Amino acid sequence: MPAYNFIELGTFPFTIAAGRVIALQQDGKDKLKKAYNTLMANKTAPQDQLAETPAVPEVPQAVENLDIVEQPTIDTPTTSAPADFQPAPESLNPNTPIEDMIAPFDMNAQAQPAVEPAAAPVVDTPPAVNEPAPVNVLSDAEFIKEFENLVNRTGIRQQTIKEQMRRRLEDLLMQAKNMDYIEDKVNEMADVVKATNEVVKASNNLNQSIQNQPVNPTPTTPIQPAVQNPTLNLQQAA
Amino acid sequence: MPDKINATNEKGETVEVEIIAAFEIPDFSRKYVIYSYNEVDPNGLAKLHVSQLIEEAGKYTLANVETDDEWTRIKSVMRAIITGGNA
Repeated sequence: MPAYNFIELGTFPFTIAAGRVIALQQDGKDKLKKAYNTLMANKTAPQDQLAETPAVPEVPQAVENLDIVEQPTIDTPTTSAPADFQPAPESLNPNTPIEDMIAPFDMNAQAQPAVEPAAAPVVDTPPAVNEPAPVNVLSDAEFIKEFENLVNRTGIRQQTIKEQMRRRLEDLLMQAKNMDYIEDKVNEMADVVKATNEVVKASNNLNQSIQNQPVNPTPTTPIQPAVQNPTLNLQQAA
Repeated sequence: MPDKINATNEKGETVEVEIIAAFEIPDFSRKYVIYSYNEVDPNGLAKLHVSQLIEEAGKYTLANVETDDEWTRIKSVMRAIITGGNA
């Protein structure tokens, strides 16, 4: 059974419901289309079973440097990939698995969180039961490229995590500012309480000092004899 | 095969899309279409869309690629087309 067959599209009306997205370098798109059109024009025979590691693939000169790059994109037409993300282009080598880093693009689905690119399996999915398990041994160069892809994916996740942390920090800062305001008010109230206590203390001291003041006794004076008749005394004296 | 077609998106709007490739994978008994809105992402890469082609009642519907197995196989087919069609 051939691995795939080309088909002709009729003139029926098209309705787009959903699809997955893959990114290619601009010339990659053109080369893919050109290669497809060439094969269709030549009416290439149905292909044999596709193998992950063909023996000696014939690479046309025009497409030997084709790069297919998959990168995580947000499932909106205007993707928001990090500005400093530089995808590592990998040469098109049948031995190199193309990692799917793009979440399925389903326009019928609800808007998905912008910070959660779909996790991509590092290893190819297992083949169907009736197919022989492909032997995919990576060379050093391929391993390095895979590692670079993994690093790039990690970088994107780091950016995502950084953004989340930045937002959390902003929230915490806002809470801290509110706490500072509350703390200032509490300190003001504490000052008022302290002043009040001092006034009460001073008042208590004053009362105590008043209570401790000894009561002075009324001084006694000798009783002076009353002067009875001063005029008689003068006559007697004369 | 038409180079460009007018399609109706989920919003009911008519949009022009460029057909890149169309093929059938007998193992899944499904047909697929690779097309483009001529979009470029912020990194300067061309964005291609891949959908399952469903022909029904005299119209085509481009639906989602359901399984990861299909998606893996579709990428293999793309690779095979680019390398000259030899598997």
